[in-house]
Amino acid sequence: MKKSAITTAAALSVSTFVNAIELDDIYFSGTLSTTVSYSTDYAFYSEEADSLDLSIVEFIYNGMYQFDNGVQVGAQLYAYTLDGVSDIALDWGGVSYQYRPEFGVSLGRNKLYNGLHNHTQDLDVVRTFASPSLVAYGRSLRPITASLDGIAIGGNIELGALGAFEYRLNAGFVDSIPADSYMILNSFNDFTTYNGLKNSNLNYAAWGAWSTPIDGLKIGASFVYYPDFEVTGSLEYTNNLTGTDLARASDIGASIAPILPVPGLTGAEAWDLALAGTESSLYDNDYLMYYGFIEYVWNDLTLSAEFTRNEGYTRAFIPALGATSSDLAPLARLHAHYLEATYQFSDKLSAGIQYSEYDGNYQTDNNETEGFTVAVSYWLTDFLLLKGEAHAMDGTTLIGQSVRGVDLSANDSWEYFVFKSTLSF
Amino acid sequence: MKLKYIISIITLFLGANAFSAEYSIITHPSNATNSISAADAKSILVGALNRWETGSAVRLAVYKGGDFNESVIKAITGRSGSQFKRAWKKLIFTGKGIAPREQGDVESMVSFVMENENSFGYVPVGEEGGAKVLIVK
Repeated sequence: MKKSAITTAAALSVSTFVNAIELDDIYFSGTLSTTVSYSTDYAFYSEEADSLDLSIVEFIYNGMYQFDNGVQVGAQLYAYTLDGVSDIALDWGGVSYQYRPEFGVSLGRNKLYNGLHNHTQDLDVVRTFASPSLVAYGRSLRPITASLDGIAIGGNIELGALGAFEYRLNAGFVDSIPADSYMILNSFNDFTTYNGLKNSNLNYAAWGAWSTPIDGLKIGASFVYYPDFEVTGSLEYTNNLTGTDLARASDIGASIAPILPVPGLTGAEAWDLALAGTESSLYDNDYLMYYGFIEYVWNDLTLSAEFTRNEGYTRAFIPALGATSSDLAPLARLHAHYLEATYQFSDKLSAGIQYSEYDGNYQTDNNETEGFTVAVSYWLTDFLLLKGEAHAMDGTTLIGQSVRGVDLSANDSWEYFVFKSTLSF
Repeated sequence: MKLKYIISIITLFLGANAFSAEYSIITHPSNATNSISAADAKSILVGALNRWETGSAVRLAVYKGGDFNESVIKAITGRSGSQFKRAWKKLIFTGKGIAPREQGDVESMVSFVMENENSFGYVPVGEEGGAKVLIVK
């Protein structure tokens, strides 16, 4: 007990990496971030238009232990409040063993590597900006993009004169996502009563980055494939089926009312019917996410560029109607890219600029959003990081990630400002 | 003369570290390891390798800061001090690594190494105390 107290005091006094607390060789680290925002014209990620609001609070805490043989066990919690929604989740946790730099394995809930920043999307302490580019890392999808329950392998392979290659492969499952989650509330807004997402199939992810022979230049790509995401819910009813919807209802013997046509989610040839008032499986969706990235670090200057493409396909899966499948139909086709430069002026001060483009559907040219961001971050003490950001936006498509019911056809210019403080302990 | 002046200014601007230290990588005298490859030393410092060849877990110690620390980190890993810290924070918060034990000065570094059989640290040449100096291959 006495030894523990001494160890804790000593660790508290020396660590500036994350101000970790060491207790009998178990390391505890955490951060608490508070975001205050102001948007000139539109509600965006919780802040109301034309008012300064406390918009996001995030809390991270982890504990890790390393056995004498190198095996590590640990877990991290992630809790947040955003747009009136609060949740606490296991961010990662399990057992890992790095046999050699070239190969290691982790079992449990593993962070999902995707693009440059997905696995560090919540870590304010490692970047200049308040968040990774929102065009490439939308917050609403976090429940399925943060981690997978299963196995991950990875390592770094030295290639001699050709540089080095770092890789990470994940396979695993995603937790069921409840109806009151931020993702459901902001991604599926056609339903009146919605019961959540269930993913009982294995999902796959591959990530690779080549550190080229040019010192500081890294090029990489990644993808994640989520097959068969089952969407469940119970829908409001209506009796006004017409045309194709009525014909399909007849075809499958669903002449009983009430039945609700679900607009917007499926194409004309896909099933778009469901029994009302009864919880049912509704859709079976496939999602694919691709990233490509390049990063160049030259002393304290970091230049990076990244593009991402998200594709969703859907088929009806409604046992209650006897409709078990139909052809896959496009659900979402998002494209985004950004260019970024950051400069570390000192251990405490860094600044960055970013230009981004976001297209909610890359098959059309009429719903793009451009953004320009300037950011500054400053470590006031070893424990407290402060950030400020100004965003000049042209277009409103990106708002659809965060707020329901917004008219996304407007092509306005607008601005928003973000102030964030992060306490690490 | 003018060219030399310009080069000096550019070097200063780029933050080139004029401090170049000679260092020894040290471990506990009872550690069975006598030598280490430059690649493995780098892997240990950047958190990609957390075991000695014997299979025992490495207990990594670094300094809080300072010119000597900056110089050694740069020499072994190619990273600046702030890049090094940022990379470790990524490891710690993604479940891939345990924070290095930070030491305030050479004396505490040597003390830490002498108290931990599987330690990995670095000190200026000639200040190893009773620690074992690893030969870098």
